[in-house]
Amino acid sequence: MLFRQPSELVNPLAFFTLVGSLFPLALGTQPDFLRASAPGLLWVSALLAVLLSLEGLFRSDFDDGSLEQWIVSPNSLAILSLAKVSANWICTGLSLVVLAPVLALMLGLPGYCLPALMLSLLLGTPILSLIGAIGAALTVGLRRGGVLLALLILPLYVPVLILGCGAVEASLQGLPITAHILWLACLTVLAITLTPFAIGASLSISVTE
Amino acid sequence: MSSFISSLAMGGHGGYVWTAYGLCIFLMLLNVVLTFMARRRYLDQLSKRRQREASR
Amino acid sequence: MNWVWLHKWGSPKWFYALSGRYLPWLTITSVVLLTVGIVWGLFFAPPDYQQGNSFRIIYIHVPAAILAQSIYVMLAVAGAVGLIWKIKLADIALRQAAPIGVWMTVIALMTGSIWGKPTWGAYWVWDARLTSMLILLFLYLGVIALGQAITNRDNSARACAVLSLVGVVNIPIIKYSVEWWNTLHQSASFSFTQKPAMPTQMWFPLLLTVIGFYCYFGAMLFMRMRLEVLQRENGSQWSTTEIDRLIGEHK
Repeated sequence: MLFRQPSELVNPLAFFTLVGSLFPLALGTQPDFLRASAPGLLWVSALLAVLLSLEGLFRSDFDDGSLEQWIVSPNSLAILSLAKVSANWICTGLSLVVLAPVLALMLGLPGYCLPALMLSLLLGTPILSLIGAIGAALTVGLRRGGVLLALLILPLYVPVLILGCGAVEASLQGLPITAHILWLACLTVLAITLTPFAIGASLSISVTE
Repeated sequence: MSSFISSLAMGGHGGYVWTAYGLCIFLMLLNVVLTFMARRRYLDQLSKRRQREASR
Repeated sequence: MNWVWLHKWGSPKWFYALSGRYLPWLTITSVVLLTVGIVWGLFFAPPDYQQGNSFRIIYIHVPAAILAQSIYVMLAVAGAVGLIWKIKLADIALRQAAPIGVWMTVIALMTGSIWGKPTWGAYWVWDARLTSMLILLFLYLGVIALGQAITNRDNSARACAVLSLVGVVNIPIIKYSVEWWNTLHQSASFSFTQKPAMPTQMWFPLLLTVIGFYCYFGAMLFMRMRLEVLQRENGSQWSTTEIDRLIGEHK
């Protein structure tokens, strides 16, 4: 379904690379400094790219009335929203994981950090998509949901950002990353079990308006 | 008297302490005043509406 | 279980009458406790042996911070009550408590950063507690912005309830991750269960101001909720007589 509109796949990725390449232009290109700030830059860019892709997550379904079909359908709303978010994540999150090493090498991150980067993104982006979907579901009926969406969910992204950056930074300093990765995995499981219900409840609120 | 002034100065930290307390109490009172003003506005609005309806 | 009492409190008329009876007492208690606590803390408590007199900011900073966090939990509880039992009063409580929470967070942040100047030498240090307070401020602003963006009153209340529940699940995770990110700050200075390390002369005024802040919050919440109850119930018989009385008082 999502692949019918290539722009939905390409836009967040282009945004990710664009933001990632703005930082060297703004901060200068001293290799040491760039390498030290690369984990944070990559994670912030990934976070913003996911945020951008989420704004329209339920928009078309809301406009053409499919969301009302979801609510009257016998399937649980939580399962349906989980499916929808997974589809979105495969498009954006997973492709970010694939694209991130390229940007990482451009920022001068050494090769031995790439597994940590990819693993942390692989575990972290599903959380970003799931939490963001709650915000998207709450704001779907609103005219200007974009800024509001960012205000609602960016504070909730803090733990993922801290853990994700922490993992990459630890690997940059040659420290073990197991603790960060396990915590991220723990949050991922928590997000997968709990957020679908919140997304479902938010959708039913937005649709009845 | 001088002991009172020196206790206000708080060993050089007086500025910080008094600014913090001043801001805090100002904001807390501001909240109360704003709530009272909102109530007053609502009542004024209602009484004006009633006068209009009575004069009609 | 018998939930009649809950529905009784949920009735706007009942709430209006009962809160009117409690409001003066809450106000008096809060004024007395805050005055005694602040005067005691400012003039009679001994100065801290490390921080000197700047530690006296604790008597407003800590209560504001504790209150700011409790109010967010209260938002979530009110939200859950509103979602489960469909009690309108819980929606009103959520909507009216959020702005007070914002102000408390702002007070905690401002006093904290003023305190930071003599203690750390800078107005803002990215320490764990200040940072989590800042994130709490954003969480509050999100709830308020969402409530104002949705025009339908019931939907707006339900959306805020879901958001505050999501937020309250996240707060401990945010807190722990921020603490993990930065463990520079002094450890917790005050708790009810453990014997405090501060001398009695120092912590007793703090206890007074904490309770005083809670009473202030109760009084403010009742005042704000009573106004919204009056506005919502406009047209019902009891509210008309009450409004008549209030307008009569003003003249």
